[in-house]
Amino acid sequence: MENKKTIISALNLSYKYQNEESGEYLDVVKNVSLNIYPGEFVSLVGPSGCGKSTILRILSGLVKMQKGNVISETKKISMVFQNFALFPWLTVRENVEFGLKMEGFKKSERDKIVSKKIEEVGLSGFEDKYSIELSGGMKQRVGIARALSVNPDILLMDEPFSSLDVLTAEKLRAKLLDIWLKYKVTVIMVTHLVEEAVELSDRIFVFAPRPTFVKDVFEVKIPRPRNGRSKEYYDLVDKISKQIE
Amino acid sequence: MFIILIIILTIGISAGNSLPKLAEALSLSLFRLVIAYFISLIIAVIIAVSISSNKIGDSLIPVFDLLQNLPSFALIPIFVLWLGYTNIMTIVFAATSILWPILFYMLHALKTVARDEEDAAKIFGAKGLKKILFFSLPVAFPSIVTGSIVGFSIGWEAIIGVEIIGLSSGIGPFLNVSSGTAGYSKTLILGISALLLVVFLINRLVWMPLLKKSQLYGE
Repeated sequence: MENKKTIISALNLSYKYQNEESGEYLDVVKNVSLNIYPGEFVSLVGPSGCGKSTILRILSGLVKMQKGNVISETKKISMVFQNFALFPWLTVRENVEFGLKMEGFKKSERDKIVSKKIEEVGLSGFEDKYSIELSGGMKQRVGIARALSVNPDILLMDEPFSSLDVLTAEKLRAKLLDIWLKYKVTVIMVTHLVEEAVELSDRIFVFAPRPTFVKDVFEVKIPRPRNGRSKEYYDLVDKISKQIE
Repeated sequence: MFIILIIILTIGISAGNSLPKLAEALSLSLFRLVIAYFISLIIAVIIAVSISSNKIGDSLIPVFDLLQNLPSFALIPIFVLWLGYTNIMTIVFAATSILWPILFYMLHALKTVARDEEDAAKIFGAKGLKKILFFSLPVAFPSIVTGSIVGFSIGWEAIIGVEIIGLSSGIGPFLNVSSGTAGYSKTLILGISALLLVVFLINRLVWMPLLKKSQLYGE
């Protein structure tokens, strides 16, 4: 893989967070380098609050880079959020349509794409509901459909299943895997659940507690669909979990 | 509502020709109020949207807070010096008191919007004017409604106050003359009942539907 061209890579990223009241600086990210290849499913795992979300936000451009470098070949970045971040004043259809509307797509084109994405995530029949009327799982389906509608080549996911109950999360992970296999979009997912990372990823970056750095990288070679009860699955989960503790 | 309407009609009929006069006075005051409200709304939206997204805005908030706390009737002499007791003066004066609740509710909403939602807007390409139209204004919508309800009632006070103090037209003078002259107490009750009815109708037909719409936000 080393010779392949990366779709996005970070070189020696460091990030300090300034406390607004005390003015003190807090080291969050220290010298993080990542290479992400096209079509890969990569997870960033680490203890809660270690700074992995900050890395994701630097890659997305949402957080201004302070030190280091990001080299990006992406044409379209999209994102799925932990708390869904749906717009409550919009219906399911309008939420999914949002990115296309901002990009100036015509109504007829938007309708076609939106219907398809809503169907893909299994929300047909709920097009005119508002987010207040949806369950958590359904909200995240909207979040995924909205992210996919803009036809991204890279999809950033910030703890996408952490706000959902176990069963809903399991279903949605399967759905995500289907979608990923179909589109081969590059995925970078932040999670604190090692099992989730092993189930889905090609590679797993393990991060240290704050100020965070890359502690280790694991390649997951278990064939998909991965059986959560196999020995090699558990061995890997254990190995990674030990790194995090 | 029907009770008020019946009171107005019975008193109105027994009070002779004051009903058309009342309608004229009330609609003139309402007209002044509505104009003042829209001026305030536009100014509040422009200020809130333009200062909520930068650092200068934070330093302006205490200034606004001070201005808001100034008793607005204390400013009447200044407005009179500037514009005299006129229609325009009444409208401008009312607008300066309606502005604050809308502005403060809006600023609060825009300052406390969830980071994820703001990030999502950014990721999906809402920038500049598009961000204002498709993100900031919808985010602020419930606060605009709440601020407007408060502002509108403050506006009634301002309009009627100025009317009673210095104007000869509108519902203020109608009530004032009624109270000052013997035998006119019927028209005073009539005027207040009619005012109640208008306030009630605006509440039912304008604010309630808007409030209902903003319940979508209650997650």
